[in-house]
Amino acid sequence: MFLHTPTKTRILINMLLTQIGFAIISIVAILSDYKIAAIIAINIIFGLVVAYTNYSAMKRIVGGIERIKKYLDDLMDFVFFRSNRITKAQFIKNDDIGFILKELNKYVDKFDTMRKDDMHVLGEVVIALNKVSQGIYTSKIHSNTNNFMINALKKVVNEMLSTTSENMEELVGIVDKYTQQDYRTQMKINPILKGKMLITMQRINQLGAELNDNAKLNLRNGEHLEKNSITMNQSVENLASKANEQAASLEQTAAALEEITSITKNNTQNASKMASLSKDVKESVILGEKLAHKTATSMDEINEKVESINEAINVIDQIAFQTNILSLNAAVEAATAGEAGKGFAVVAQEVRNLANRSSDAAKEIKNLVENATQKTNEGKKISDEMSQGYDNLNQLISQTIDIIQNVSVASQEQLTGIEQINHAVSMLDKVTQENANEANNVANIANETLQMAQLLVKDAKSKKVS
Amino acid sequence: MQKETVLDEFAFLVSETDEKGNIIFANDDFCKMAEYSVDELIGAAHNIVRHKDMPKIAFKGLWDTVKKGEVWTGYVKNATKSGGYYWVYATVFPTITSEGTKGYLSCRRKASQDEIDEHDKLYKELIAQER
Repeated sequence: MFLHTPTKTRILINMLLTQIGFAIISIVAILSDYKIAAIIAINIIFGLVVAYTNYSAMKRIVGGIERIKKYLDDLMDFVFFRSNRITKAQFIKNDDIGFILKELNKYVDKFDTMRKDDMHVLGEVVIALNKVSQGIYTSKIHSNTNNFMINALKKVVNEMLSTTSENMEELVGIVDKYTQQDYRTQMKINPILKGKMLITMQRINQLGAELNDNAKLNLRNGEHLEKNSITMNQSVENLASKANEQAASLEQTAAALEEITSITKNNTQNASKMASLSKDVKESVILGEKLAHKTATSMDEINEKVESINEAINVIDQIAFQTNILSLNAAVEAATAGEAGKGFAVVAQEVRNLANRSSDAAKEIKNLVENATQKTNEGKKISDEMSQGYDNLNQLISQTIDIIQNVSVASQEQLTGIEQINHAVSMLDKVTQENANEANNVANIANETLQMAQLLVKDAKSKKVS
Repeated sequence: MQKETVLDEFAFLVSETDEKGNIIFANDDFCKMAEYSVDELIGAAHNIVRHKDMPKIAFKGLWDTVKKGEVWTGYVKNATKSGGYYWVYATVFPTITSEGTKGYLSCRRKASQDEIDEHDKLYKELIAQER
């Protein structure tokens, strides 16, 4: 009964029913002449009617409140995310409670829509910011919500993403250019920027300016280096060729020195041979001198012997003279004896002839001996002269030996000197060869330096600078 | 027995897919819960986390709803890489993705135990019907 009656009407109806009840009870009491039974009966009837209407009204109101309370509990769970769903009110009557339930249903619909919209925005924010953590700044929040707080979040996140993305684009653009060695441009720095982003951009601009300056400086230095390298290269090549020439000359010198050394060695050997030969000569001279002395002595001895021969010849000569005298005597005797002495006279004549021949022979020998004496004297004189000559020779040979010894010593010294020179030359040769090697090394290095300088210049030229 | 991971009150698992359901991006909570790295997930089909206990009809409802351009909500049992599972309350929006293309954004939060129990039972019945 009165299903769709508002609570106010219900209470009014109850009041009216009660008033009507009281009125009817009074009327019945008057009309029935205050019959107790009639009054009680009417009382009971109205008591039952009012009790029913009151009970019905109470049940509706209390039940409605219970329903609202339950609905509100569900709503709390839903709003505070303790549950994810809510069952809306159904079977709504057209009374106050029904109105509240309808309002709550509308609220739930609105809230659900807002919650979904908010979640959509937040989901996008989560994705976008998670991407930001990974270095991706290009995301954007697209969905909308009527929740001003979430909308404020969306707005600020979008602004952050868009400016950060622009900044990143600037950074990437400039770093790309710098990577490609184009240092001509600088970043435009958004005037709103502060903090680390500002510092980063300023520093990168600074870095770019420095890279630009460095690139220019490198080109200048490179060109300078290249020029110097070319000069150095030429000098070093010169040096290397000179060193090589020097080495060749020294080699020739060394060869010549070797020849001189061998000649000097030969000289020394010859000098010592001469010395030994001189000694032999000296010995021979001494021997010759001795022999000359001996010859002189022998000559004296011959002279003595010749004297003896002369004495002997004188004896022979006297004998021949006496024999001659005897033969004369004999001839005289033979002539005296006549015929008998005729034969004897022949013999005497013959003896006389022999004595004459002996005398002649003695004379001849005497002449010969005289001749021999003369020759011997001459020989002696010659041997004396010879002795004197030997003496002279001896002195000269001694002087010669001295000279030869001097020559020998000098040769020895010369050899030592030459050996020292040889040593020095070979040292010099070694050093020169080392120098030549070093010069070649330096030439290589100079070449490399030149190549490096050319590379540097090429590299520096490849950079785009303002 | 498969291991269940229960989401905490503040868990918010978000993923983006293209119109074919291939994952474009997933947030840290999603990766942690599903036990995949974000690189493993990017480019994979979203059914990489699909659990065999989910009835086909549930996903059909999902696709039918979002393809019409409406928001779909529902309870989903997902699989982890190691073979475990976790329950979520999912809200799927047709969206413009972070890459500026058309796609879907899926946001998930904790489902209450009552909700889980109810849907566990419901899905078992649906699966039984599908067989």
